[in-house]
Amino acid sequence: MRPVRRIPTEVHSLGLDAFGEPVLRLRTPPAWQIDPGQAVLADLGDSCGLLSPLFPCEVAPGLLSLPIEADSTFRPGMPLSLAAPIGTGFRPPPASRRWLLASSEAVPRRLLPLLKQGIERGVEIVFAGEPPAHGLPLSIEVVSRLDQGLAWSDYLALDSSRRALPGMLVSLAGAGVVAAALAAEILVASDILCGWGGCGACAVYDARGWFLACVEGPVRPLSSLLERDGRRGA
Amino acid sequence: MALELSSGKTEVRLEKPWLNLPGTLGFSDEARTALDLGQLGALVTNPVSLAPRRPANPPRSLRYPGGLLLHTGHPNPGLRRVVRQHAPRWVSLAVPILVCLLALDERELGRLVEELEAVPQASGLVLMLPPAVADAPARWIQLARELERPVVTLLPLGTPLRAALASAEAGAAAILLGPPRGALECDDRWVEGRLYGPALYPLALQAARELAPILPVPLIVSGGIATPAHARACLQAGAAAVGLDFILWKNPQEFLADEAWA
Repeated sequence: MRPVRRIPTEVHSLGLDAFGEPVLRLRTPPAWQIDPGQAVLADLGDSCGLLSPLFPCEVAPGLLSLPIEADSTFRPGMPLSLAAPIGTGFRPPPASRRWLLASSEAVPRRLLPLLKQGIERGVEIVFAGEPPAHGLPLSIEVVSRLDQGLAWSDYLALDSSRRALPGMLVSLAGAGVVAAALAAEILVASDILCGWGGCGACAVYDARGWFLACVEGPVRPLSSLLERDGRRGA
Repeated sequence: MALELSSGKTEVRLEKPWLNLPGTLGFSDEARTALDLGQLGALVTNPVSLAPRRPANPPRSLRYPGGLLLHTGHPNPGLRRVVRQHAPRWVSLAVPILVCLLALDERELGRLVEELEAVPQASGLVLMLPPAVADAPARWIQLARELERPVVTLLPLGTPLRAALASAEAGAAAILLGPPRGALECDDRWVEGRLYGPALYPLALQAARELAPILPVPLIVSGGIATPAHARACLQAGAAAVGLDFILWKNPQEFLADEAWA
């Protein structure tokens, strides 16, 4: 397990992401990296006294954008310490050239860093779903159903909240997704408290039992959640 | 300010008057990636059952102003696997290990205690008392004491004095007041779970003030402790030690730094 480190950052600016949702842009140490799909824990001053698990929506050298509430009181220059990176991120096969992405969310913000990585690699990307029309680059084709892109793709990346996971697994089975037939990964977003497997709050059931999203996820091979014949996991 | 816990036959010395609550730091290996366990007075494992336990499906962590309701189901791989995976490294830790036992009944508790006889790395026990047993815990504590190591009973913050006294009189080496239980409505259903967070701090301080002078055994209080000043206040109010929970998920290294406690 990779140690979770405290990362000193500073608020660079507040802005909007590609979907027009509010983000907090942070200055990060120059050599610091985070993979698409990995989470961070940030102290947003929540009165519950805990860190908030957040999935970056933009990652650039020295800069990280986190989703925040519109009424945030952060100001440029404020320090903000992160615990990061949390868990494992997306690992698209290096040779993959045709990516199919889908999300359980109406606004697929957690997939934005992977989208950017794909564009930088020059791969073709199809998004299955109905994201806000203005949010995705024009080079990304949008289809309404997952099965419309399955035969074409050589890599499938999915994003689901833990709550929406059972429904997504059912729809995957309906779309004919068979675990062993495709390089496929899924990000399962759950609440994360500690970030290193101590508290058990982020447990997610899969086909073989369960895993802790903060250390064995949040990105997992889809095969770990689907049985071989495409039925959903436990 | 060290704390000594005694079973009458063996003793455990906590060099520092603070420990983690069960359910916060795993079984040791997990937490080593996040903090220096040597900064604790003792490491309390996550609750361990005889057979493996799966997590609640799904676990619930409901945040509310001032705190968190958490229901995990206490997932764990069962005592044998915990011992196999983690106990070999417990000896190299600079702190005593208190194994937290989660038993459904007396029979299970007896078997857990039997199996721990072969685990000398477990310096003592933290015994989770089911609510139905809390007022009459003598038999449970007697079973746990057969291990001849100090037994700390875990009771929820807000436990009446009579239950804490019952544990002390039954032979507990100390009383640990852990998270109280509460309920919140979520998706038109009631969700019950353990409560954590800053809102509990006044309750912890009050428990230290009220119970510590009366109890014949050391009292370890927890709940809402978010700063070293909170911990110091609980100690000054009579607690023999403090239990740390949510702060260990937030800022463990800075919180446990020795200079913060000076």
